[in-house]
Amino acid sequence: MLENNSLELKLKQLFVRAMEGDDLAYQTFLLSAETFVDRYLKRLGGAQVPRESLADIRQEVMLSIHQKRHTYLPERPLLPWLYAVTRYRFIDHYRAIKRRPPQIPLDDIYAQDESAETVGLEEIMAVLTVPQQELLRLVKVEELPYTTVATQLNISVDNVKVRVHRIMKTLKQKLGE
Amino acid sequence: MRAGWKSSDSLLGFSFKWSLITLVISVLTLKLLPFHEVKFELPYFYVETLLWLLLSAVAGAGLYYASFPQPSPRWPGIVAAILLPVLLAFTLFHPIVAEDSPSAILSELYFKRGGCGLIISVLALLHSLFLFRWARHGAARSPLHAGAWAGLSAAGLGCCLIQPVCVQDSAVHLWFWHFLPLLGLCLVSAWVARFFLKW
Repeated sequence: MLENNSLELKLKQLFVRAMEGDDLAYQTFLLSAETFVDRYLKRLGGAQVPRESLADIRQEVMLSIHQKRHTYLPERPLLPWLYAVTRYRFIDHYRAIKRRPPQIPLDDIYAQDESAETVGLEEIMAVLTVPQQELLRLVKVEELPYTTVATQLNISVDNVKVRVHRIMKTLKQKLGE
Repeated sequence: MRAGWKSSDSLLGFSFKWSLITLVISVLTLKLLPFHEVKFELPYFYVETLLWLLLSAVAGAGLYYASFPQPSPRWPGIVAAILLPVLLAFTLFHPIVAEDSPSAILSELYFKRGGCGLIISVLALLHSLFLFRWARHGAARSPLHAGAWAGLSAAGLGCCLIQPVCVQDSAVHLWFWHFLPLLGLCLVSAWVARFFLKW
């Protein structure tokens, strides 16, 4: 309690001086507030919150303190204001995490993609005839425009579209089974 | 040394702005809507108008406190919780309450009788634009509550200004076309605030 009172007094003095334009007081306030915020966040999150998350939230809190510094009214105590801003950011951070889809490490995604692509492409080509494989390679793998493919294979653009459509239909039937 | 910064408006400063906007909307209402002078002779008209204005002002104070991260005082909530039932009950003591027959109740449900609801919403929209703009500058701990207060203040003002315009005094009309829009506006405002007052 006594510790809180002296902290309130110290931080409030610094903050009021900062409001008057004292740069050094504002820097000192931010440094002291960071320690205070850190301690409070640890208390809010307990041991379950990872250290990186705490660092993220602390950064967000410090940014909010700076952006919303005008919402502090000098006639009121400062610590409840700091507590409120920190708690708001903490809750907001966890709400955002809840809404976000689960995070998968990039390495895992690449590994999954590579294996899926190799196996998938081999499987696909195995069920097609050689001309069909060639057409599919040009249209889907090399992603050439229909006009270029038509010129290369010496057929009309409409013909290319029809053939691609048939190939897709065949693939759907054979691979879908 | 740099310029420093000013803290947000005090309640006095906010009240001054709130009153100024209220005055502008009142003047607009005075110019655009036909007043029924008969109503000025009825004493309950003044009491009810005053109660609506009081509700709107109290809700404004509620919004003011809700726009700061610190814990808010409880008095705006308590006063609003008293004023709303008082206003609801007051409608029962209108002199023309005897006309609330079943057929009158049904006729009030008719969509075209809802002009008051529309006017209240338009007036509330003007006022809520100012309130939201002000609250956005703050840092509401609960945007939902701040939005509800803004809605109540704006719709309360709408209900106050519609008093000399509305010719219907039946309780059913007032419940359907004055109180329900007020409730709806509070809910919509609270929902909008979730996005608009986020910081």
